Amino acid sequence: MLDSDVGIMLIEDDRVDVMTVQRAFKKNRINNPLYIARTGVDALDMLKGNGQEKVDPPPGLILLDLNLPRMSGIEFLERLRQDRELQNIRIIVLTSSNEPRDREAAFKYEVDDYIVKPHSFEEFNRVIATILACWDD
Amino acid sequence: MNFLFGTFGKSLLLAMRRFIISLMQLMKGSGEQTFPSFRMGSIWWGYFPVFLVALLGLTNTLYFFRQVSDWERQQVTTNFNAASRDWVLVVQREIEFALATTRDIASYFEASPRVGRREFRKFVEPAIKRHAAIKALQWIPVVSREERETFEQSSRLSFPPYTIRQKESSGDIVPATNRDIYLPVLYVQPYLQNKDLLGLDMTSDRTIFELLLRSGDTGELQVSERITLDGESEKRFGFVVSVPVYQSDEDPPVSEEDESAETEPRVIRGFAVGIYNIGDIVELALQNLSVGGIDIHFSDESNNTYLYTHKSRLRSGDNQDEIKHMPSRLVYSQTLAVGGRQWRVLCTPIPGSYQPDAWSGWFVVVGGLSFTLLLTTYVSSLVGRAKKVKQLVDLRTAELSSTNSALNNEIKERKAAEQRLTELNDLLEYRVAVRSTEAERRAKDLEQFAYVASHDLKAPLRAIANLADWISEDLEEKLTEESREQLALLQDRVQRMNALIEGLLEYSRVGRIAGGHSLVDTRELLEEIIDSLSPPKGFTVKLGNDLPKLHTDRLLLGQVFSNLISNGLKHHGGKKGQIKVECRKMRRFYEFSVADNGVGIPAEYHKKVFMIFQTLQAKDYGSNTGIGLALVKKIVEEQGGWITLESQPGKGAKFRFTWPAEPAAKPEADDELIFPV
Repeated sequence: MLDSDVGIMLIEDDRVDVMTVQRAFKKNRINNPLYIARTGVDALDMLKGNGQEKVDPPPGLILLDLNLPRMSGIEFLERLRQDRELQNIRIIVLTSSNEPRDREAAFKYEVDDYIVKPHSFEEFNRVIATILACWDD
Repeated sequence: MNFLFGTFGKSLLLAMRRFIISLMQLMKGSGEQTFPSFRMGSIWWGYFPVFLVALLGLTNTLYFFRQVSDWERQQVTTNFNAASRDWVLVVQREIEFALATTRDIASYFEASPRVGRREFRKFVEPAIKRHAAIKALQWIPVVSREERETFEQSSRLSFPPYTIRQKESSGDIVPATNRDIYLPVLYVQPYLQNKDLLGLDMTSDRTIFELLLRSGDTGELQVSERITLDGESEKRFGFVVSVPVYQSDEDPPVSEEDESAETEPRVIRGFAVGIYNIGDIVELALQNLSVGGIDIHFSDESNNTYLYTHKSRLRSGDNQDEIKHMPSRLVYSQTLAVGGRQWRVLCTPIPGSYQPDAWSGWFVVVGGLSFTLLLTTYVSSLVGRAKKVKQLVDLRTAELSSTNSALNNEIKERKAAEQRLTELNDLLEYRVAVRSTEAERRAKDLEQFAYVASHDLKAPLRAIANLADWISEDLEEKLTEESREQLALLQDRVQRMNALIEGLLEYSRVGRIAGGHSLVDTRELLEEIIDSLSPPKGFTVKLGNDLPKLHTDRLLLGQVFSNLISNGLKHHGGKKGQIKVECRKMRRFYEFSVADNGVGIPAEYHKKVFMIFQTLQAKDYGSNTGIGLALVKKIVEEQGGWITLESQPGKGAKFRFTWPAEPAAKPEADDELIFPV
């Protein structure tokens, strides 16, 4: 079970999707601090403290959307994996793309899971619950 | 014959001259032609050996002709001279022989102091008989005036009418007038032809008197100039021979005679005289010789008088004048000393004999000319052949070079064509590259579109769905029944939209995503699909016995089966149903059939069912997107097959499609075949 004080960062540009995640967390009574970045660039700035408050300690999990403005999820992954400080953060890709291409690209950067966003909230809720429940270590 | 030779030789000479002139003209012409072009000069120069050979041949022929003719002429001359000499010798001998008769008479008188008429006749008769040329043989004693009476007296003893007579200038014969010395003819034989001569005083005959004087002076046998013989038409010339007879020592002359003899060492007693016919001597001499074509002319050189001409017996009917004036190439001339006179003997050949054999000369000419002609022809043919060969070589060389240049041109053309081909190829490749780039770009665009569609279309849809969920959840108690139903409809339409997008994505993915080939057990594949579709209760899927194992794209074949089976299940129309999957092996492909026993499809829709977004039922009904059969058709056709539908309303529907037994050849291989580099 995920420690309740471990931060979780959500990188997602769609407000409804952000709301979906927040709602699902709420429904599953997950109270871990949730940092929300709207773009990959924002996320990096937050993680490194460039021009804004640094997320410290770094989050234990990042939920990453792939289709992001300015910097795609894959680019973000690349940058993150090159950063000594941040390279070990667990990442779960949460995307609407079911393309094999995206899947391959993501696993190249050793993501922990790749989840296609379910169409209904109920399903999404279930998925979040499952992920967090299954989280050991 | 000579004439013939002459004309032949003349014409030959003329021809030769013409040839030489034309040859010279040729040479001259060649000289003139040398200047305008070297090629012409070289051609004539090539014939130089021919001219040389011809010239040498001609020169040699002429030289040998001359030599042979000369030799021939010389030969003839030699022969002629030899023959002439022989003949002259024979004639000379005959003359000697004839003269010897007179000399014999002289010797006889010298040996016998007294010779009577009878003795004389006896002595000379055999000689006269033997020698036809002897016209007369006489004894002429020297009688002084004083002895005349005694002489006449004693002579009348043997010949009664004997007197010393003389011939007058009128021709009459009269008794001799008085003079100191008389030279009367005492004996003459043959008597009958010469009886007029008897007693004739030879002092009155100038010719004989001179002769007698001369022989008396010299004491030798002397011959007179020619005399004309009477009664002979042809051989009319003769001569007189006189031999002096002296008083013998044993028989001293009479005193009167002594006086006259005192002045001279020896006293002349008389003269033995012979008259001969020249012609007879000559003919006698030559009668026993073989026939020869020589005329012999005798003349007295001392006073240049004609004596006799022996006509060759080969000649007939010619007269003497003609013979005399016949010019002759060959003349043999000899002088004979005959009794103190010089006789000139000229031998000439009769025409036609002692003619140099012209044939041999002309043989040489003809032989030499023909040999020259042959050699010239041969040499010219050699030269011509060499020229021909050279021409041929030139021609062939020219042909070869033209062929060469043609080949070169062709090579150039081919190279140019190759170049063009390469350029075209490059262009083509470039265009292909452009097209493929374009195609790739379009495929990328499509992919991008698909990606955008999957992400960007689905995201708002998902948001709508979530928001609708949350509204119904948050306002659960506050919503009216009508609002709740409307929210449900909203959810349903969102689901449908989602399904459409998913189907569209799937459709666009066909062919874009090539799966790997593997050995597929169709029975196993079908069982999996049936399991995943989980047919509703009352429906069974029956599999045929001949389902094959084949190498193919498992995913695509699975999609086809899955769509067809689910289509059958969805549109069966009944509560219970059966779907039958069967397979038939064709030559290079399999024909699968998926048949249901449902409501069937009217014929007018058979084409429409395969079109995208076409459904035969209301939009409200279920999750039918109208993509499934279009997708199936697309996949089957992409595999090079076809799909058909057999159906009638109420009698079920049977889809039949073909699937290749072997994977299609790799397109890369085709590329290699089309563009070999």
